[in-house]
Amino acid sequence: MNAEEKNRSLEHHFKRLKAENYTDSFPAVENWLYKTNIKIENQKTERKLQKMKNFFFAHKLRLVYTVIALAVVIGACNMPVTQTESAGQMITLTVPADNTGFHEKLNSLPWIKNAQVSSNENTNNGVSQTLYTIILPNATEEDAKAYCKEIEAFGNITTIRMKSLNYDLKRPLYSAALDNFFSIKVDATGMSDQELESEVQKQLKEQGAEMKISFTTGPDGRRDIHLENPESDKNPKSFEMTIDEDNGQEKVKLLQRKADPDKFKGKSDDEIRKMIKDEFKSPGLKDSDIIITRDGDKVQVKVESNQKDIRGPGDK
Amino acid sequence: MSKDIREFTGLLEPLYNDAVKYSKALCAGWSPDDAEDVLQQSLLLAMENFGSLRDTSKFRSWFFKIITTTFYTSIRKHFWKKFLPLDDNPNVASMPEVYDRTESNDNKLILSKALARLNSKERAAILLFEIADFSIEEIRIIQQEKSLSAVKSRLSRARAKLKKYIIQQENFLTQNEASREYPGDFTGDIENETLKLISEIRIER
Repeated sequence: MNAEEKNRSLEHHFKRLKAENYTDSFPAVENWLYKTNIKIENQKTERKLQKMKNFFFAHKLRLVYTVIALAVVIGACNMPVTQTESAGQMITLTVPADNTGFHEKLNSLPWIKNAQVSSNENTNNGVSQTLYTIILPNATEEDAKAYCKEIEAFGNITTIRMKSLNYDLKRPLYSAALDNFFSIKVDATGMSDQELESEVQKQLKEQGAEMKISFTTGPDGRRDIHLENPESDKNPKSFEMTIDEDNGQEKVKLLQRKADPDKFKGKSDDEIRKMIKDEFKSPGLKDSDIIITRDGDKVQVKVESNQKDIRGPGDK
Repeated sequence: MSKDIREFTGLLEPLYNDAVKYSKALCAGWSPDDAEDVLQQSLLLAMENFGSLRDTSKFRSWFFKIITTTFYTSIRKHFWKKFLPLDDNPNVASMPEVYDRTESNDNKLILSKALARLNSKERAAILLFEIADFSIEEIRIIQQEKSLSAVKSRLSRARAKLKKYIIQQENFLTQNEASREYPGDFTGDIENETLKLISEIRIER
């Protein structure tokens, strides 16, 4: 079949389609349009409640699906999940009974004041020894390792072991998700520095965090917030504190980011500073705020920024 | 509003035949009920929004644009209908039947099968040009395209595809006519078997 024949065939089919006639059905369709128009006009005056009723009837299946989906989401959020929480670390060690000076050396360690220490004497294979159990609440595994090294440095230790004190906690999924974030809101109007400090401390304690916070009022009447967030499992990894006062609102945001250890490998100080500035997107961040320490291949980066973004009562 | 509806039906009457044919051909491969649904939705939409049409001289292109967009929307509904019963407005009675449920014209079947293999935009473009006699510029406006060349190339593509598909169908029918002495040769393909049956009926006539 050549091109002309192909065209002829297509034209022939369209010609046949064009020749179809549906004009006979127009009066019935016209009549239906008139009737439908009257119905639509009447529907316009229908009350809103009736419209809602119609909507529910017309979309009942979709509504059922929506309700089921919502129920599934709510159910999933309330599903209890088990999380392993750390209560601290435990160090057990044995020293020969003749190691008389060990007890004093142990007591001289600065961190021992925060630990619970118990000791008892026993005999192992006819050898008298003293068993020490040191419980370190809130200590991390790294802390405990460092403490063990300090103890080992005393010498004449038979055994030393370290164990994490973990416990399982069951709580709803949403609670687990919110565990690492909380916010504090205080209306500081008319409060003294001490009152404000105790109010913030109270709220922190209620949420299970321990932070050192102090306030000082400058000569211009502005209050400065001094905050120390020691690294502890109890303390939040991110939080937001909002303090309302009659001279404005102050917001403190803490955000901890864990960087990839190899991220800064082989990078110059200038390159690292540029990377940090790009990541934080903070125009006020100075080079001196970014402290870079190098230990062989290891690069540690610390950002110390003291920026004030104090908004007035009318600001948004 | 009663004046509006009279004006609306008055403007609709001269283009009704083309609109019905266009809707039917657009919905090639669908059931007559589904094609009537597209036509009904288009008529209702046009009637409800007729008040917003300022220039009644543009009624023809305005109405065909409504049919085209209703068809595009119906493609999605047509897909979901397989999984979810979509309730129509319970307060509106269905349109009277327009399309013949019994027709089995081989010419219509060949064109319908070929049209069904085009994508929705190509199908709409070729039908607007061939059935509704719109110009390329008018099709550009109806299909909301930025350039004329887009419509031109779409028309050219659609025409080439249609020719190819129609020839395939016609060749198939011719082959079956030639081998009609072996009616028991069942291929297992329901579409091919239908076409074979049509060719046999045609030969018997």
